[in-house]
Amino acid sequence: MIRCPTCGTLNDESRRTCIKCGNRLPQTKIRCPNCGALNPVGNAFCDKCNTRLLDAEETIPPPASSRDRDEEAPPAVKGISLPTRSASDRDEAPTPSDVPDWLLDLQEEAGGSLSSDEGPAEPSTDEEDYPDWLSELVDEAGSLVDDAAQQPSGADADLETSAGAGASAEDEHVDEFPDFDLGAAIGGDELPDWLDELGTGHERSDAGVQSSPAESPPEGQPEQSQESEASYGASDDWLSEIEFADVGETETPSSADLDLGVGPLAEDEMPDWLRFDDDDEETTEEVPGAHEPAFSEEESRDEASYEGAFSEDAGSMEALPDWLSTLAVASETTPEAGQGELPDWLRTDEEPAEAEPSSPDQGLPDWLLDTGTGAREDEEEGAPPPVPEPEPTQAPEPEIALDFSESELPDWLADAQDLGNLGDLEEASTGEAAGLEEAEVADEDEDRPEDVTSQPEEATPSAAQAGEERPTPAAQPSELTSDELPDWLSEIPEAEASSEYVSPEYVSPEYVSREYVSREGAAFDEDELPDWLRDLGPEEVTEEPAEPETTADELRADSAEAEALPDWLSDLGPAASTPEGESVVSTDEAQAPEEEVPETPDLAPAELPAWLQEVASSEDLPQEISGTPASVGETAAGETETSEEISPAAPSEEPTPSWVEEIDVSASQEEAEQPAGADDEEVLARAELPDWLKALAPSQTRSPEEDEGVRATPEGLVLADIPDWVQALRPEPRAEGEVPQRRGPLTPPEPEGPLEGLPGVLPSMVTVDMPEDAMPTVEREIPHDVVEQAHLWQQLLEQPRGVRRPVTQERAQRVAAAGVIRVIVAAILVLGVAAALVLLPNLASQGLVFDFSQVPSVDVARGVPILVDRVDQLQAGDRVILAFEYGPAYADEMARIAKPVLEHLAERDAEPVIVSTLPGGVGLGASLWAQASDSPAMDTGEYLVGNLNGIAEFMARPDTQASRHVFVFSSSSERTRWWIEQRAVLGQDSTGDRLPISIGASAATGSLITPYLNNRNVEGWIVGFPQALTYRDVRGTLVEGEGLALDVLMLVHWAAAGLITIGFLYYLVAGRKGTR
Amino acid sequence: METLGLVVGSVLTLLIFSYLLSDNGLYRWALALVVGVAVGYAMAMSSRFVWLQIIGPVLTDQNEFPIEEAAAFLLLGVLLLPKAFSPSRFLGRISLVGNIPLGYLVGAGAAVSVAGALTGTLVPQVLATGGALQLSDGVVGLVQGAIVVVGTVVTLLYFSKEPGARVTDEETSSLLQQFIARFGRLFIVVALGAAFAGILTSALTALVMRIWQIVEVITSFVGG
Repeated sequence: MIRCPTCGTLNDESRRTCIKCGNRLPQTKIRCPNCGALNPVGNAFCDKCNTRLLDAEETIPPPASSRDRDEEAPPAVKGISLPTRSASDRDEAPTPSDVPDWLLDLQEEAGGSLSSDEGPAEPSTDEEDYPDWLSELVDEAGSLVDDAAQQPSGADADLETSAGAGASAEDEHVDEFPDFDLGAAIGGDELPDWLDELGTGHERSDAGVQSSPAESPPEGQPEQSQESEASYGASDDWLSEIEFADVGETETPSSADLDLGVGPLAEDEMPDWLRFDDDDEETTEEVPGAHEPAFSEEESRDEASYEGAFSEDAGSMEALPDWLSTLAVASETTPEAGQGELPDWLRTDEEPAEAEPSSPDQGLPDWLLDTGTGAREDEEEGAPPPVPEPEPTQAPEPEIALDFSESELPDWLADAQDLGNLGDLEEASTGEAAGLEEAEVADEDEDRPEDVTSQPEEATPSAAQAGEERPTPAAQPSELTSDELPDWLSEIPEAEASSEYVSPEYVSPEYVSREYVSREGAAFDEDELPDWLRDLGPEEVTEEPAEPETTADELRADSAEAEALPDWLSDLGPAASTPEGESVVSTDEAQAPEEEVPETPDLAPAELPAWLQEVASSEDLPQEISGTPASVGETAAGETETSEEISPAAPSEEPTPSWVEEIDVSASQEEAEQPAGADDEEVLARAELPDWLKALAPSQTRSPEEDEGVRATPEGLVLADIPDWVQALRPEPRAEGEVPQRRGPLTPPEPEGPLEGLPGVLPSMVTVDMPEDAMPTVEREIPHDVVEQAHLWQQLLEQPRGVRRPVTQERAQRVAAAGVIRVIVAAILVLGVAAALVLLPNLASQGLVFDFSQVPSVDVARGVPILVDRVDQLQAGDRVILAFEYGPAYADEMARIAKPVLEHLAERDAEPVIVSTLPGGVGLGASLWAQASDSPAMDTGEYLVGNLNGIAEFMARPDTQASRHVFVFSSSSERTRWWIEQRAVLGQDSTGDRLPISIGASAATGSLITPYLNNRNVEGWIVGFPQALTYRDVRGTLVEGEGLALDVLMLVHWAAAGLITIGFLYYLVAGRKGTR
Repeated sequence: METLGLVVGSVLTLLIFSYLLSDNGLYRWALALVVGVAVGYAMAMSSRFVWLQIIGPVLTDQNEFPIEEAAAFLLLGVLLLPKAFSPSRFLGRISLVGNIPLGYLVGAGAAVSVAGALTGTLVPQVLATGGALQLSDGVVGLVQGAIVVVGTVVTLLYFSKEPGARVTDEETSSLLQQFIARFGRLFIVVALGAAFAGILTSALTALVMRIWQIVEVITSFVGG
């Protein structure tokens, strides 16, 4: 369960937002240290990765069931609505040995928050008063109480033992009534989480209850209502949850389960919740939806008979029988003692003849006979396992009377009715009968809807009544006024209305709709019935619980110690002193539950409240409501002897009513399970103590030595003993200054969740570290050169910045060698050329002609004659485009190539247009044209910006297209290609023919543009200086001296070829080694 | 003046030749002078052309293009200016606008190039390759034509695969493909050798012409 940080409401773990305020809820999970997944609290291993969340020694043991705890936990101190008495009262009380130890514990614990001397205890809001051991008690007690709420048989069985409770109850003081309002005593806001978790399942009902009290507070008792409201609003929901959650846990309610005998009490002695006035009628009228008729005439007639019976008996009743008090307490509408104070609905005079509750057999309806079996059926339907009955030695004190005033009622009881609103009507089959019965009773008086809430099934567990024999209904239900009603009763209509199970028009429960809807004149408002009352319906009753019965002698013997008992316990056992409280419940008549029940002296009408007499006379109840009377009767018949043994002194002068017999049977069934040799004390304990109290009893009786250890608090209250299992959790004492040993490394603080910011809360995952001396192994051996390179890189990276890298000596030697070679090569070429240029003319003048080369012929230079021919075709003034696509570096060669053509064009008086895609080309061309034409430098040159695009743009011009020829002198194959391509695209002359283009290319370009030259797209070309001489030769303009240049060039070529050969050989032999 | 030019040219040539010995300051100075003069000349030519051919006519209303067209040219040119700045500066950040004229230039250049390549290179080359096999040129011509055809085909086949995956790779090619590839590579080597020979010839020609010029200068001073 998750507590809402805003409103404190407990929410289910599956919820992310508060069901009450809607705020986001914190996560209460354990984060896995490995995968980070959130695991439920209690997980030892992660659900996701199976990582251990807790150390082995810290592993949380699986939560034991209630049965297991009862078996294993030594001090099963249980009880939740137990009385408290001060130490002063304990002086008057008998020795602790007279009281069961576990009850003492309960009393002591309860006394921590309540004071019997102060009358009805004010709901305490001190949470600290609530000890931890109550965590166990809450679980156990809540389950038992809830069990009692669904097992009306327990209430029926109480009739046997609580007959004399009324007499003893007269001697009790109201102040000594159990005011163990645990829920009120513990402030809801201050409740520990584990307690709150128990109550969050009923937030809706809680909310409804909290809101309703303010709407219809009982008149006349505003303080009580406020107290009750305050206590109820103290979010003691866990108590209510306990009450209902444990309904099915009790397997066989004993006769003392619901034995809340309330003897005839004076008005001032009665607790507040028993003081009802006639004002209830007025008050209840204010409850919305409280007067809706939902029953047929038949029902109303039957109910009228019940009321009549009760009304007759009301005058003679001095005290309520225990079982009636049980019913009253369970429903938290405690009738006051005294006939005159009986509420109207109990005094109903209608059909008195039918209601002659002289004996319980007559007065009780069949469903009451069957209620004892309802719980078992619930258990069969999947209810939690029952709480094992305590050991016989655990309950030595039989005379324990628990009574609860309105303000004294624990909140869990107050919540119980609201929880019942949320309960499933169908599942709570056994409770339906009781609720229905209550509904019928309340139906007689529409003004008392809250009274209907008194149900026997909800009977708060009372201590074993001290009746000597069969309990005689001596207690007289008092009138219940709305003013005196507890708040939770007045809230019922609102709570019902707010419940999702009941519409504003009220949807009748199944059993009501099935059995009672057809009745006429039904004045009962179903809205007044909480669900938990409807759950007490009689249907689906299948088994008869066997309850141990208390013999009259035992009860009588124990009654002598009643005064020694605490008051609240003695209230439960007045039957011993009640003369008319002796009654024997015979099971003989259980076989005829619907017969007219004769009066019995044991259960005089005066002792029975009217409403019970009316209930007892409900012979007209259908069979379904009464459960399975046949089977029950059979079972009861077989148990008759046992019950008689338990109550041998019961003077059953009158035939026992069938319903009583059935109750007896239900009690005897459980008794039959007990060993035959059980001593009287055990039997008495079993008879006197309700199951839930037995379940609360510690498994081991505390020794007197332990009792002596009980210390009194400064306020006179007795401290409780810490259960063993709690003691086991006590940390081991350490020496002073000793540092607790940690089990593992301190984990970092939790990043989120409820443990946020807390380091070391969760154990760290066991990590497997690599040994410190472990070295990574490399499978392959790293090559040596790689290691050297790595070291070199490491040295380089480790060097500081700015350090000059030393130049190796080897590289310097190489540079020197290369320089020498380079000088040698240069010297050979330069000196060779110079020598050739100087010597060859001199040698030629001396008659020594060395013809190293010849001008290439036209066969070799095929483009030269074409070019000459194209130039010759030009007319004077023809516009020719001269493109100079070379730079200064190639100016000497290109000038030798272009000059013959320019000279020829100049001769042809062609109008040149000098262009270039190179900035320097225009000047070189203009200068060359000036030299060739022997004219001043042209100022018409154009720089074609954009390379290819410039050429394209230029070729697209009309002036260009009007040109007659294009001459391209280029040292770049690429630029030559541009001109060729763009001329092919755009170069068209005025006649539509393509503009002819001629190429003068350097020797380097010639080999690359040969394909263009040979595809006949170019009309004439010159490639290299030799073909330029060919051009001159073709034209006949070859000048002497140019042959010398050609010879020198040829010599240089040979020299270069020789150097290349030497170098090739050098590198072929030694070069490869030198390269390495 | 011409003689002065020849002397200056000869000296600068010798300074450049000094690099044969080693990397020296004279060489660097001569090199910087040549480069600077060349760039200066190019800058002068560009400015002159841009001013005279584009800006001048526009300002003097002598532009042959409409003013709108000239303004468009000018705008495209202005958009290219931010490209000259660092991207960390404002003009550099807005240099993306220069992509517009650049895109225009690249697109137009690609279109011009593709058109010229198809019309002036591929188709003529294919036709020339096919036309090389002509019996009219005799056996020699036929052989030459065959060599041209074979050389062209095998060379193209050598580059038939994607870069980095040569057909010579045994893992990816058959024996025939490997043979063709090797044959194509042979043609490529011969073509590159011829190209290198042409470059060498051009360089030697320039050397001879340059030395010849120096000799002429020297002989003119010595021989008078």
